[in-house]
Amino acid sequence: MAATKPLSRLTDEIYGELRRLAGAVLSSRAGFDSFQPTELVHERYFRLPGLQTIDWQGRAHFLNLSAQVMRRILIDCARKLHAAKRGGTPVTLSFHATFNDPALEVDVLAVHDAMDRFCVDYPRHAQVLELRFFGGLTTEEISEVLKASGHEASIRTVERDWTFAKAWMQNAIAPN
Amino acid sequence: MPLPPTENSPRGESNPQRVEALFHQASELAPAVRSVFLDRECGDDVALRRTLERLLASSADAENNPGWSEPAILKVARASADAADPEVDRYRLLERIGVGGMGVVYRAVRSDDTFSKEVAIKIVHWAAGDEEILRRFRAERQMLASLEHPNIARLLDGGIADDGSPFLVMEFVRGLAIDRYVVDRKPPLQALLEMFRRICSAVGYAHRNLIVHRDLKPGNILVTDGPDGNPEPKLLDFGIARLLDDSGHQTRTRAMTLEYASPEQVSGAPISTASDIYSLGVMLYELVSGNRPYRVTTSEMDLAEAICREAPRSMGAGVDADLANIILMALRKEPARRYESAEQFSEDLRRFLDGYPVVARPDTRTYRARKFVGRNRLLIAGAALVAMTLAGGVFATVRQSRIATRRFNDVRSLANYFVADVHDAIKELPGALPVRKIIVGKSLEYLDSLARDQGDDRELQGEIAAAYEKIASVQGGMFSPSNLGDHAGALASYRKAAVIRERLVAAYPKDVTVLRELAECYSSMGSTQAQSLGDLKNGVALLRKAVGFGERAVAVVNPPDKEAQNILADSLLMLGDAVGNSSYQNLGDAKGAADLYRKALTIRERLANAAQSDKGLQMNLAQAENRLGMILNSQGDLTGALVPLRRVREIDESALAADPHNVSTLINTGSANRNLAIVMSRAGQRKEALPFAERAGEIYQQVVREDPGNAGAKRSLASNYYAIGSLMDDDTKAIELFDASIEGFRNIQKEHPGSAPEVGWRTALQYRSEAENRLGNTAQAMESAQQIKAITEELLKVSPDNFTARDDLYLSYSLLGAAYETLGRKTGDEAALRQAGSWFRQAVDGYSKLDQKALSRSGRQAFAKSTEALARLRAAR
Repeated sequence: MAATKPLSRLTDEIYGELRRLAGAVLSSRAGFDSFQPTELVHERYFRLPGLQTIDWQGRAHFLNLSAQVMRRILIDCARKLHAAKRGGTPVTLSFHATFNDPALEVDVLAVHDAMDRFCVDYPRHAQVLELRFFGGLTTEEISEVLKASGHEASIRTVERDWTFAKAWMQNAIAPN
Repeated sequence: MPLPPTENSPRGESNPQRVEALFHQASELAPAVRSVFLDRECGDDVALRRTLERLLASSADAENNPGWSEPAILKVARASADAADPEVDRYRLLERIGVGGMGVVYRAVRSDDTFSKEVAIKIVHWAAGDEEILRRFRAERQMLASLEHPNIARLLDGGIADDGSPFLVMEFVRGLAIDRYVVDRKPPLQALLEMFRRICSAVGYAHRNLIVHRDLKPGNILVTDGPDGNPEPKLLDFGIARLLDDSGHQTRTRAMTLEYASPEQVSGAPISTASDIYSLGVMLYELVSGNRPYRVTTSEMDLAEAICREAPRSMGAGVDADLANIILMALRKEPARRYESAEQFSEDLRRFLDGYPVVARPDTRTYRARKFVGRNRLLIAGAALVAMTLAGGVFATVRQSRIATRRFNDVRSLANYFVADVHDAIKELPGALPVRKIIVGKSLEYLDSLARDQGDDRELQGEIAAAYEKIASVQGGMFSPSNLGDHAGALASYRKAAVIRERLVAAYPKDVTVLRELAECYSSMGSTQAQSLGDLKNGVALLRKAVGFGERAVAVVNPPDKEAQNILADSLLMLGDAVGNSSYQNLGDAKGAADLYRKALTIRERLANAAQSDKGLQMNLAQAENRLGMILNSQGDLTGALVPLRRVREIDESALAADPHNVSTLINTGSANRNLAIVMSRAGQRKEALPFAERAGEIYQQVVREDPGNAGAKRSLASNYYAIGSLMDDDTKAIELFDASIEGFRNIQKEHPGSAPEVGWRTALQYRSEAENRLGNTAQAMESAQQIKAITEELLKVSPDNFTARDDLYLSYSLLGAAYETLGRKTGDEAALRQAGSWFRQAVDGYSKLDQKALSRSGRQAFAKSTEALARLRAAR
């Protein structure tokens, strides 16, 4: 018992902090286009004080939670942005600075909306998608998270799941 | 060719596992053979075939779509950045020149300025609406604006934009980041080091002003060609990392850039001037050798690990050994073993340039794993040194400076930075107590010396008094959860503050601020004396003074000052608590307390009605209503009490709905539910009360989860356990909750050994004793009663006037009587029955000497029960 207490305390602390941070980043109009993906997301996770000291079980738990929190925050933010653009053309939340073809966009809200359906048949794949797309985790980290929740999850499994998840989602969100 | 996802979407008829397996198999085949494969596997299952074809086509699209390779947060952040306004306050934004963890930087001009001087504006969008950050922001901006150094970009202005985001306006520097500059221009070593020494001078200047940069990196040092052709560095963003970083949360490292971060920043240990020295070292390492001190890895975890544990790599044969030693000295893991100041660093570089022996020696220590991070002892030693260095710095500055404004800053720095930050930074470390005491002692010493020759500068006097108050709260303030428990010391500091403030009131008898602050000082002092020390007589006298000055503050201006009214209401409430609220240490005058509460309530109602949308005022109103409810309840007017208590709950729940993670709102809402539940159950509505009690438990658990250091929440959680337990019909189950409650209170006491024990602790023990007795476990019943007795006897030693303690002492007699009576009846043991009689008699004797009207509800019941039991036992004999 004594060993789990500081851990849970730490996780909660970091969890609260993360929620605050991510919310803060996106609270209104902070721009982050000069950031590399890993820099942005990992910076936020790994600079949280004390994370280095938790064991893997706890870390996996935390990373999993983080992805869920991140998803919630991003969706809230995306909805707000949509709402703010009332009247005009709907904002697309997906364009990338380096490519202009709208067919190559991934709409965050559409992915979110399709997640429930995906989860019914493919819960593990949905989790991989959540961890990667919303949580920004690497394949290795996703593998740790899945292992901690009792899945067989080699790197290869995670990669295959991700390939399948992308295909499924791409199909689900593709414009008519 | 993607198809509509609606009908026949990939989920559905076919077995998902099979779909996936076939998908992977088909993916690995060349497109040409796929259809053969699908023909074979799907047979005449048309739906399966279509599903797979669609998935395979989508997979090709997905793999070619770079949109999948970036996380969602980037997409959202970009969309949100795109919605930015071209104007902020009086400034027109010209172009975005930088984006960082702390905000967006624009080049801008003042829109009303004919000279159109260019400035840089940093807008911190994420801080919008965060009251704590904004408050700090305003307080510190002034201090940053006073930094004047040729190598520091000046802070020109700042404010809050229309959307609530704070922004800073800085001198616009058109230059190259230092690393780019060095790569492009390749200055000779001599010029490079001279330039670096100017950076050290700027950093040292800021440190003397107690400002630590915390995020020194090449991007924050821009270099231009000076008029003499020499490179001229300018440091950006001084102190801004801290300004934006500290919002009362644990993170001290968020804004930093890992590559240049010190081990203490990476591991979350306290940050000091030595952290900037370290970052300077990393930069110089890179500028001189072209490399970073640690092997570049892709994993931030690995880099963080290396920073804390690995020795820097060799700088290579091309770097002079003395210069390498200088740089490595700045890069030492332990802050205390680096250069003591930026000047010393710079001085050693000068010695190197002039060909003298340098101070830095090769580091002979080996860095073993965990040496730095693993052992708190080292951290503490480091923190102690930081503390001493800073204290030295403050003293030195004071000796040099005679100007009042300068002192003004010193005092403020001392109070805000030294006492609050350094102390806060180390308070969680085990074994930090001696260091914390040193900090407080040093600060007091310094303040005392200042106070002696403070002259008559009104502002400075006010600041000194405020600093004393801040130290007092660290020593043993009633509302400071992590105080040192030195309540007597706290009172002494409050008294010093009060003496200064009294003098100010004498000099400015009509000044509302001066009066108000004195009232506030007395109310903190009075509540500490009454509640923390349990010295009610003197505490109440101080609180009466607070009310007196509060009334004067309200009366001097018309219309009355809002803040003054608030403080008056606060003082009235605290006075009421001590006068007769049985949830606090009190004198037993419940009616007096109710009158005081009503006065406070009137003031707060007026304030809240004048500004309906002000959440803070609504909460203040709820607080006053709550106290009134509590007191009416304790007087037995349950129906009367339910009215304010229901209102409190409504106000709190609606505040919580608007801000579901706000810790103080959570706590308030928890208490509101709990109190309502308690009173409802007393009014005979036990069943209706249970949901409110459970809601309260849920909320407190959330608070303890979100804010594990929160002592108030732990207390509330402990109280709530016994409240829920008391609503249960099953004694065995209830006892579990009482035990949890008692355990909680015991831990709180352990964490605050100098404080008077919580009143709720006794209640939990009482409930446990009664429940055990009902179950016939007389030994346990007696044990709990004995604990109440011991606690209250201890309290009465401090203050014989403590009515609650006396009430509860007699309650413990009555509980002991009841337990012995049960034992006697069970075993037929005459001696036990005699014991019972003797306890009941002592209870009756005690109670009959107390003011009956002031007795708490449990006291009245215990008195009645004891009287009855005594008669019963006598009759039996």
